Amino acid sequence: MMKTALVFQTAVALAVAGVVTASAQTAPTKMSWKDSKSKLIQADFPITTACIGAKFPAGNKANKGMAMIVGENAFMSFDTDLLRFSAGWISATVSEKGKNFAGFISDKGVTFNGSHGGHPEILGEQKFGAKNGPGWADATGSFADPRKEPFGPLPKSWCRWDGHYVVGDNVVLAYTVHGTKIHEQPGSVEKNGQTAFLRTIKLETAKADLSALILDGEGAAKIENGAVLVDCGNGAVARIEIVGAPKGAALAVADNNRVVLKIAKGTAGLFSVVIWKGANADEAQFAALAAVKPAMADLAKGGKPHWSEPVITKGVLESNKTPDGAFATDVLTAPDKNPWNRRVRFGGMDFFSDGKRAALSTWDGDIWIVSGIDEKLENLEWRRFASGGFETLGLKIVDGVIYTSGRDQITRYHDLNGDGAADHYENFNNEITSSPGFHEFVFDLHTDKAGNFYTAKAGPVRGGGRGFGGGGGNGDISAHAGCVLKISKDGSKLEVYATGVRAPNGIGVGPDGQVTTGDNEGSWVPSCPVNWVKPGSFLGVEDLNHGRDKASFQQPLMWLSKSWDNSGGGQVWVTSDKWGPFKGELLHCSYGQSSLYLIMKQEVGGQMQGGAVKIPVKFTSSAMRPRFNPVDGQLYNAGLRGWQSNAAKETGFDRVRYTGKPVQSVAGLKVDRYGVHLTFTQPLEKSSAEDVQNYSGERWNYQRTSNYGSPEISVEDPKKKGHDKLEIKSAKLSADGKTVTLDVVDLKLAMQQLITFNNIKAKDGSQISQRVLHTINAMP
Amino acid sequence: MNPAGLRLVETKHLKMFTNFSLALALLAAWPVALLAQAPAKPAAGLSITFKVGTASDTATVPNVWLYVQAGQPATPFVPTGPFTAEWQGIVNADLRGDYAFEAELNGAVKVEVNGVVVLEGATKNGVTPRSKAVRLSKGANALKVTFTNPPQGDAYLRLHWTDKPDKPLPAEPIPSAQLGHMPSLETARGTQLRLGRELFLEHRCAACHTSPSSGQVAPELAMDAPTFEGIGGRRHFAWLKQWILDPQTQRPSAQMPKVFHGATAEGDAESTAAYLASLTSGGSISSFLQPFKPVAAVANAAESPAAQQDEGKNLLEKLHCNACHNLHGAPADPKKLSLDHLSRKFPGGKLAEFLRAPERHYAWTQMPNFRLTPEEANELAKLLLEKLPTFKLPGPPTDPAILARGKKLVTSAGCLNCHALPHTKSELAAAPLTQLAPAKWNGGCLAEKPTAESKAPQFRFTAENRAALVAFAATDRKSLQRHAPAEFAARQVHTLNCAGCHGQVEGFPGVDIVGGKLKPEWTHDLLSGALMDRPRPWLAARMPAFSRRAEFLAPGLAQFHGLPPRTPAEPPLDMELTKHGQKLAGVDGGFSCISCHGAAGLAATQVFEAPGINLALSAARLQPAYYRRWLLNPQRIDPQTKMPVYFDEEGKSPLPEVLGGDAAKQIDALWHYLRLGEKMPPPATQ
Repeated sequence: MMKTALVFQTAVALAVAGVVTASAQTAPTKMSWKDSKSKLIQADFPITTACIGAKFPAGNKANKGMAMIVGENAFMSFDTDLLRFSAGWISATVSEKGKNFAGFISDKGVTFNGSHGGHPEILGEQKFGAKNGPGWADATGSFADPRKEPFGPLPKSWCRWDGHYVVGDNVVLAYTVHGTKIHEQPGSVEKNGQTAFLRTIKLETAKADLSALILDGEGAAKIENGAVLVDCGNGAVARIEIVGAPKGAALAVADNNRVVLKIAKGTAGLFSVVIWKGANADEAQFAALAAVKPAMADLAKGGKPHWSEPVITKGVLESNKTPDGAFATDVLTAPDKNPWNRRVRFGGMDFFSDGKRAALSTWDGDIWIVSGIDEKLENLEWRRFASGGFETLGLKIVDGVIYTSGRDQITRYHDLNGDGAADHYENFNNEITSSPGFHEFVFDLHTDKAGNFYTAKAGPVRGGGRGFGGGGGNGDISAHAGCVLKISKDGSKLEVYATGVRAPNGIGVGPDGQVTTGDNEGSWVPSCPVNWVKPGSFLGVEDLNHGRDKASFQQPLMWLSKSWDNSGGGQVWVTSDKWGPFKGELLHCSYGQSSLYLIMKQEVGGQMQGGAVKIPVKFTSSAMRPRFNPVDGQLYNAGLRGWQSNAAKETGFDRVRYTGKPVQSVAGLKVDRYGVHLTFTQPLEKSSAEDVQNYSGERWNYQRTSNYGSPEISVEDPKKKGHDKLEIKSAKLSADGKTVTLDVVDLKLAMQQLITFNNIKAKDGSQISQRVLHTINAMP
Repeated sequence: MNPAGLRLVETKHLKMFTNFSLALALLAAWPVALLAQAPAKPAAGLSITFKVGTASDTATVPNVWLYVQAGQPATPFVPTGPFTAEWQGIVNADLRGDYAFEAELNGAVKVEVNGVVVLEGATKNGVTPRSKAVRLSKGANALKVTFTNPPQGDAYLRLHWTDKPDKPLPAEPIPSAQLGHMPSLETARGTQLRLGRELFLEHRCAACHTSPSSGQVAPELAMDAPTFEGIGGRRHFAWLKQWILDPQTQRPSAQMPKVFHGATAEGDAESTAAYLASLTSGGSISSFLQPFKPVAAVANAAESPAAQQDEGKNLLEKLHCNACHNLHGAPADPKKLSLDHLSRKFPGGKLAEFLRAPERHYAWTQMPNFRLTPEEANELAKLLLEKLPTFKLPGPPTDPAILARGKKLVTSAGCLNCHALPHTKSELAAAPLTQLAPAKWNGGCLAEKPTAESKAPQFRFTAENRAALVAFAATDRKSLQRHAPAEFAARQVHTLNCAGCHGQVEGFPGVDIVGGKLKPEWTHDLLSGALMDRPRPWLAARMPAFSRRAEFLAPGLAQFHGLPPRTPAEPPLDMELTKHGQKLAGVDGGFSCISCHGAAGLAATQVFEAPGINLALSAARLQPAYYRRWLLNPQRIDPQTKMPVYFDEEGKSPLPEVLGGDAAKQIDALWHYLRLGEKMPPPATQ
C-alpha cells in the first residue's frame, strides 16, 4: 500500500507515545524513527535538505541531498546536482553510549547540533545506494562525470533540475533530461515487515534514448525475466522490477553490478521502478510488494497545508532607544514558540510591497510570512509558508514572489492552490557549487535595479577556524567558495562577481547597483572589513582567489576592530526619507556585536575609504539582515545566533524607528592633508568643539596572514604590538558650526584610526560623546 | 645621607621640567627632591611612602593596591606597627572626562586629584560610598592617596574608579598603564635599597656572614644551592672543574663566586672537582611530579589551530625554552642562558632526569619543573644534545692525595656554607654580619678590584650592584628579618623571568594581572605542581612548577593586588541560583557559553581557534571580583578577547526573562553554577 497523509497526521502523537515507551523500558526495544533523539530533524514534513552521507557505495555523499520521508519507515535521498537517488533506507534502533535511539538522519552539522564539521548521515539500514556520479547518462549513454570538479550540477545541455512539488506528504521531483521533461515521485510499499522503494516516473515523450541509474549493486547483478537480481552477499538479495513499464522502458545491467533503466526515444507513460532488498528467503514476498498501480500526486492542485494554524505574537514598542532619543527599537516578537516545536532562526527577510507583510527564511530551511506590521505591532500573525530548504540564509521578494538563497540553489516559491503555503519549490538557479563542508554558508540575497540577483558564498573554513577545505567534514574549495555571485534576472546565468571573501554574513546592493559585503575575521581577514566591491575584484582571502592576482587585493572601504565588529552582518542603504537625516547613506550591521553603524564614505582617486559611528540601538538577536520597509520607511532587522555572537537570543526581528527627535551625531568624515574633518548633524557650540582636551585619537595596523585574525600593530613601529596615540594639535569649527577639523600631527595612512570625543556641546545644548573608527587607505 | 654611587640631583638641575608641560602642572604637588637625568620622564607606577613612627620607606608600585596582614610589616624596611601609606603620582586620562572613585578597604583613606580631596573615609572591611564625579583633564592629573591602617585586622586598600559615573556600573581598577610618577630621590633610594637587599639574599651572603634570625624572615634566607650528595653521578668531572674555577665565564649571571685564585687556583679547582666527582652515592630520585592530566573533552582538539600552529615545532619550541635560554642556532642574547655546555655537564641520561626534576637536588633553582613525561624528557634531552659536539671527557683523577686535598678544600673554602653534604660541616667562619660595618663593604667580596693576595670569593658585582649593597649595608639590616609577601612576589616575578613568556607569547596572560585574577589557592597548586587540570590543555606550552616558592609566591601575588592571602569564604551555594546559571550557560534561553567553553565532561560545541577554558575550573581559579569584571565586559580587560560583551552600560542583560534581566544578578547566578565545578549539570546544547 502506498503511504498516505495519515503518517504525518499521527506523527506528533506517535512521537509523544514513543518517548514515554522509551523511558519506561530499559531493555533495548525497537523504537520508531520519530522518537529521534534529536528534535532538530523534523518528522512532520517530508524533506530535509543537507549534504547527506550514506553508508555505501564508499564515499557516497549527496552534496545537495534531499532526504525524504517516503513511507511509514522508508527514506530516500535525492541528489539535485546529479539527479540521482543516492540511497534508500529504513530506520533502525541504534545504541550510543548506552542509550537507544532511532531517527532517519543524524543531526550532525552546524545547522543542526551546532558541531563544526560533519553533516547528517543516514541512520538505519541502507537498502540501496548509487555511486557519486550522474543519475542520468549523457547523450551517448555514458555515466562518466563531465564536471571539472565533483561539485555543482551537470551541464544544462545534459539535464536540468527544475525543482520539486510538495503535495501533502508526497514529494514530486521535476527535471529535464536531454530535453525530456520528467516528473518522479519517490515512495514505498511496506508489507509484512518488508519494504520496497518506488520510483514512480511520469515521462513525457522521450526526445532521445535515456538511461537512468537505479543503483550500484553490492554484488553481481543479473537479469531474469525482465527483473534484476543483485547478489548482495551474506544471504541477501536485491530485486528490481518495473511495474507498468511502457514499451521502450526496460532494466539493464551495466559493468556487472550497475542497474540501469533504459528508455528508448519516443517512450512515454507512467510507471514505477520497484526496488527491494532482503534475505534470500524473503524474495518470494516481492510479488506482493510489487502489486502496485503506478500513480502520481496531482501537482496542479497542490496539497493540504502542513501548517494550517497561525502563530500570533504581540510586538513590544520602544524596547530601547538611542541616548538622543532619535531612534527607538520596536520588537516584532518571533514565533519561536510554535505548535511544531520548530527552531526559528531568521537568516533572510524582505517585505511585500504593502509593507504590512514580510517573509522571513530560517537557517533551518523554513519560510515564515508575518502580517500585521503596523505602528502598534499588536497582532502579528505568523504563518509557515515553506520548509525543507538547505540553510536558506537569504530572501528576496520580487513582484510578490519569494526567492531564497540556500546552499543548493536559489529557489522560487509558488503557492499553486492559494492556501497560503508553497506547493512548488522551483529551482531558479542551482549552478552554485556545494561540497560537504560545514562552513559553506550562502549568505543574503539582493537584486540590483536591473533585476539581477546577488548572493555570497562563504569559504569552507576548517573545523578549527583557520585555513580552508582539505576534504571530509571541512569540505573543499569548490568553484564558488568565497565568492560574491551574480545571477541574471531570469535565473539562466550565474557568474562570479568577486572572489576572496571568507564568511560574509550579509551583503548590500545600493540603489545604483553598488555591491558591498562585510566579512568575518579569520585567515587572510585580519579584522572585519566593509568591502566596496567592484566587479571582478579580489577581496583578500588568498586561498579563495580563484586565479585572481593576489596582489590585486582590493582594500576595503574600512576595517573594524574586534570590539566594533568581529563578524560582519549585512549592509543596507537608507532609501527612505522618513529615517532621520540619513537618506542615501550606507549602514553596516555587525552580526558578532549585534550593532548598527553609519558608514561615512570618502573617495580618493577611485579608492574608497571611510569610517563608522555607532547608532546605539539594541537588537533582540544579532544585527544581520537590515531592510527598509517600503511603506513606513523604517529600518527593520532580522538576525539569528548560530555561531559566535553576543546576540542574546537565537532569533530576533526588530524595527529601528525614527522618532522625529533630532539626531545628535557625527554623520560625515573626510580626511585630507589639513586633518580629519568630522561633520555633525547639528551645529556645535564653539568653545567645547574647539577644545582639544575633548578629543583623543589612536591608530594601528593589522597583518593580513593565514593566521586567524591579527594582532593590533603600531603604525610607527611595525615590530611593536599596540596602538600609537595621536597628537591632536587643534580642533577648529567651520563657519556653519557643523564641521570640526582636527589637526593631527603626522597624519598618515593607517588601517585603523580611532577618534574619541567627549562632551562636545551642540548649539541646542545637548552633549555629544562618540567614537569614530576609520581607515585611511589614501591621502588626497 | 649620600650613599656612594647614588646619582644625586641637586636643586640647580631643576630645569628638567621645562619642556614637559604636563609635569609643570604637577610641580606644586611634587616632592621637592628630584632625580637626575634631564629630561626626566614619568616612570610607570606610583611612588608610595610608608611611615611607621619615625621610620619611613619609599617604593614604586604599579597601582593603589595594598594588603598588609595584621602583625606583619608593611615593607621590609619599616617595622611592624601602625603605619600610613601615601601614594603620589599622576593619572593619565585619554581625554577630558568625568570620573568617580571608590575604595575597598580596612582602614582610612583620602584620595586627592589635582589637589582636591575627592574621596575621604574610613571603613572596616567595606567599600566607601562612590565619590562625586570629578573632571579629569586630558593627559596627566596629580593623584595622591593616603591610607592609615585600621585599629584591628589586616590593613588593605583597593582603589577603584569609573569613567561612567552616571551609569550603574561597578567601579574597576585604574588601568596601571594610566598611572605614572616622577622619579625622586626617595624612590631611587627605595629602589636601590631593595636591589641591595635582594643581591644580599640572592647571593646567599648570609650563608657566611650570619645574622640572627627568628620568626618571619625573608624567604630567600632559606635558599639552598645544589646538594653535593651524589653529585658525582650527575655531573661530569670536567665540567665541575671548569665551573668551580670560574663560574662567571660560563654563565655571566652566576651567583656562585670564584673561590680559588692565583697560581693554585687550577689545582684547587681540579682537586675539588675530583672529590665531588667521587661522591656518587645517594641523592637518587625515586619520585617525580605528576604530569598534568592528558587532553580530554576538547572539541576538535586535532583541528584546533592552536595545535596546528605548533605543527612542525619541536618540544623545545613548544615549551618556549627560548624565553630563558639561547637555543642552538638562534642568535645569542646575552640576557639568556647558554645551553652549549650541556654535553660537558651531564653524563648520559642525567640531563633527562634533571629536566624531570630540576628542583630535586636544588630546591630554589630558577629552572622550573615542566612536569614532563619520561618520553618528553628524553625527547628534550635528545634535542638539546644532538647539535652539540661530543667530547671524550677525561675521567676524574683518582689519586687519593688529590681527593684528600679536594675534600679539605670543600670544607675549608666555604663550599658547604651554601651546598649541603651529609655528615660534613663547613670549617669556614666568616665575620658575622653584625661585625661588617658599612665602611668595610668596599673590600673583600665587594672589592672593585681584588688584590692579588685576597682570598675572598669574587662575585664580580657591577658598580651599580656594589653601590646598592653598600646602601643596604648602611641600613639597620633588620629588613632581612622582615617578610613582605607582595614585595617577595614582585622580586620573584623578575628573578624567574615570568615576563619571558607571559605577555610575550600568544595565549599567555600578562603576569601583571595574575595576582588580581587568580585565587591564591589555585596559584599555589599551579606553582607547587599539585594541580592536575590545565586550564588550556590544548596548548603544548604549560605552566611549570616553581615548587619551593609556591607557599610564598601565591599569597604574595594576591597581596600585590591588594587581595588577601587566602580567599575569604563565599556565601553558601544557592541551588536555585545554580539553576539560573545553568540556563544562562546554555543555548536555549542562555548565552550559549557552551559554544566555546566545555562544561565539566561536556566538550564545547562550536570551537574556533581554541576553546574557552572549561567552565568547571572557573570558580576554583578566578577571584570573584575579577570574574565579575570579566563577565560584565571582557573586552575592557582584554580588547583582543573573543569573549563577547553581553551586558550593557545600564547594567542590563539582553535576556530579560532570567532574574529580571539584571546583569549583576545573572553574573552572580552563573558564579553559583560555576562553583559546582566538576559536578555542574551540563547546560543545554540546543
